[in-house]
Amino acid sequence: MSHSRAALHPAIHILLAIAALVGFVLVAALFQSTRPAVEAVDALGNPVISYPPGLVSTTTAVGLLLLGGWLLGQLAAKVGFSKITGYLVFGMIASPNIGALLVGPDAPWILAENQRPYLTLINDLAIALIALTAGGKINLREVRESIRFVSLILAFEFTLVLTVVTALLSVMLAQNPVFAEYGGLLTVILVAAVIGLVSTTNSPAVVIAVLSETKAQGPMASTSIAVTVCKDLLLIIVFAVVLALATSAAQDARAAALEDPSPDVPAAALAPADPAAAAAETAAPPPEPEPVWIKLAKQIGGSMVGGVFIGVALAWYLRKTGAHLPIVLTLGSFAIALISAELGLKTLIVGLAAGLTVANRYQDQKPNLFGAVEDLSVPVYVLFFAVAGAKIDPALLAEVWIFVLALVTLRTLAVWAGTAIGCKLSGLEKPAATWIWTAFVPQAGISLALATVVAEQFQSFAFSEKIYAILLSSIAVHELVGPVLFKKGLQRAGEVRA
Amino acid sequence: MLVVAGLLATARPAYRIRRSRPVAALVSGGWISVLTGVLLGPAGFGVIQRAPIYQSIPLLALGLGWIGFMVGLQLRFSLLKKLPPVVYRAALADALLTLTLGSAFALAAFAIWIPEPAAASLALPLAFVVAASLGWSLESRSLGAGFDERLVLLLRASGALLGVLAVVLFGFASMLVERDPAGTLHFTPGRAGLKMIHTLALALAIGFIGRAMLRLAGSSPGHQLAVFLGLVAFTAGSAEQLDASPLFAAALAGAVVANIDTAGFRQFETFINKTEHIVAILFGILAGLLLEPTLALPALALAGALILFRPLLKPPLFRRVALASRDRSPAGAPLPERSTIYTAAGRQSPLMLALGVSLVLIEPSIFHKQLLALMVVVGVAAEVVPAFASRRRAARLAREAEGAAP
Repeated sequence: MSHSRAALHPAIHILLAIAALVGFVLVAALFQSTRPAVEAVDALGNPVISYPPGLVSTTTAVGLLLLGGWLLGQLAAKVGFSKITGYLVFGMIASPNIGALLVGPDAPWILAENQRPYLTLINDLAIALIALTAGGKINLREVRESIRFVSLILAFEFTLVLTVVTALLSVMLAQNPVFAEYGGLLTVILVAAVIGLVSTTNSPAVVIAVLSETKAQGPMASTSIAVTVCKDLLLIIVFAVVLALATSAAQDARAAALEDPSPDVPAAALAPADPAAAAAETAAPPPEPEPVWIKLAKQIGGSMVGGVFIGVALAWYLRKTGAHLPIVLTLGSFAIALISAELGLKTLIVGLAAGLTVANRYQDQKPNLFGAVEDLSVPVYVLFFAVAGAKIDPALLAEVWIFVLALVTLRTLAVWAGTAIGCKLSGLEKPAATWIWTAFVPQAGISLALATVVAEQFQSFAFSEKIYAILLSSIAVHELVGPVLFKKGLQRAGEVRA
Repeated sequence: MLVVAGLLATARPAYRIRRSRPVAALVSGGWISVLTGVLLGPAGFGVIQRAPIYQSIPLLALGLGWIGFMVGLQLRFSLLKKLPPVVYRAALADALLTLTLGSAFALAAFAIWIPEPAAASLALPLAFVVAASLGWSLESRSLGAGFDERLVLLLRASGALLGVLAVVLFGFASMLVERDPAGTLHFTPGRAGLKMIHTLALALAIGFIGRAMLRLAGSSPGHQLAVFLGLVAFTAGSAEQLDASPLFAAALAGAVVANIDTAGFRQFETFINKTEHIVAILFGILAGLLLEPTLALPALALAGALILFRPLLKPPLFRRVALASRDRSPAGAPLPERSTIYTAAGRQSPLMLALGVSLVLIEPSIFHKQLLALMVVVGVAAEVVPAFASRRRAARLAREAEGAAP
């Protein structure tokens, strides 16, 4: 009796603290002054700059997601779940999507719709920091030694998930009349392959966060991080190629259909979903596209060179000064994200290369840098996963649940089967071999980013919304279930130290 | 670029350069950072524009909250009770002088400068000029070494109290006025009262929730960092959302935190205070980027009055209060009649830069940016005059010593 009461007290305190924080946010939202409808002027008669809606209240949202997400993460850990699940669930509850369902779209809720664009800035920071951490975790010498495990597990798990998901979705999507108008089976297979590729993604962020949380060490921990990171590298290349092919196939098919419309094809199905995008497409002749291989070489080569340069600069800073590392890393990660966006590089590769450079070339600086990275990773992960949780839309999930259920089930089976074959052939020993598949179930940041790229790439096609809904909802399920499953897997493999 | 500038300024070679007294005086006041900001910003080479700074308002509010916590954390009642009465007398004397003369100068200048002065549109600018004029820089190392410890303590403690008063004054003023849908500023005392209650309740809640959270975080630096950042962002953001100064809300929360005695909060205090240099440098640069240096004649006149007011009135008043305390409690060794430390009371507090940035962020208008520039001019001049005076005094003392030698 007294034991259960002792366990209940912290949970009640946590929930009370969350309720108090949410109460303050709602009261602040009620008190917030209405912005002047007209352009205000200052005492000298000069116009006053007004901030875009949602920008000013973003600081409160960041604070709330940090505190509330962290508190719910603690509660999740107390009842045996991963802390990440707590962060995600808090983001989901705070999301305006839930608010719209519970109190209506116009009533004030914990997070506002207009805060979303500013909150996603956290993703840039988080992806750069996650990549830096992931790069730092890769010891090239160890990877060379375990190359057999990594390559075989990666090859079988990747191929099986891709094949199975592409096949399933090809069958399901082919039944949908919308796809029939975009070149038939070839387009359907290529679009399904794009979704399949997004399904093969894992989350190095979740893997690293769960490993940090559990302080896990052992063959399962080291192989899972190596496989997820190497797979991301491979995936970025394959994804770019398949997406380019799928888009070009769908565009060609639509152009052909518009030139020679078949009497069976309704005009609405051929019309682009977004009239503005269509107008932009027809207004000016498209520039000659750069060959895919040149684009890829520039992106990947440039990102690697950029990453190595940043790694050398970081090592130099650590050696010469080394002061204020958390601030340097926070702002440095923003810099990596911004510079990558400006130069068309891949933030993930830039960060990975930077982390790899410091960890393998300047080993004396590794403890300083990655000690600070580890401290910083807690607030960054809380925010990153809470923001990711806020993107989950229950209404969308209800609409496409049958596709999502099929996708999630089949993906999980394919992950398990592919990993089992890879482990058997590579000779990875039990219990790591039995449970390592759980590391490849979680999906989060990179998957969300790729899903967004897919949606943007296909935005002028009628099927884009449905694809985005399926991808986002399946990622949401993997986001919620994945960390719990991976933590359980690590526990079963006997590698948990915390 | 801001990061690179900030980091270079805090690098070891920069610390070596700062050993030189003139450079130390300029650095400690934040003026070199301000100059860097001016050169990089639209008033200089235009490398950094103001639009991205306004877009970074969540980050800046977090920074202001950080400074507010630094200010509030000084209000530990157990320490305040131990301060000698002379500290309070010095603070009170300066507060009365500044509130009277600072307001008079500012109102006179505003009457000429502003075409149709309305009380509501002047409340925040007036509060800023007065708050920025309150107190002095707490730093004394750049003035030399070997000062009487009691005078250094007096300078620092009374300056810190005046810093708190400045934040409170500015915070109250920021809550008092609001724009209506037509864009006109009005006094809104009812809403100000509600905002004040919200801010006080928030400060208390942050104290108690923070204590519980830090207990849960244990000794893990990563989890502590998540809680620290969350507390600061939440407090500062809530104030910013109410169009109030994040400095005030965070200072109140800091005061609550300072008076809840737990190991977690002591670590929080150390963590916040350790970043003082880099935060000061970043806010100096920001102030330089945001200020509008084209000042009208009334603004220059106000700057001139404040420049004269600081070194002419503040040091003598500070000296008078300090020496009067000796007469009241003649026990201990007498305080020196002459000391460079008295002139330090003429220097402006670097807290002004945070107040100025807060003013511009509450409402980014040309008028507010010009007020920021005006107070920067006053600050630099107030830094130069005592330095010049102390050099002359040192030379005179050396000559006297030479003459007295056998």
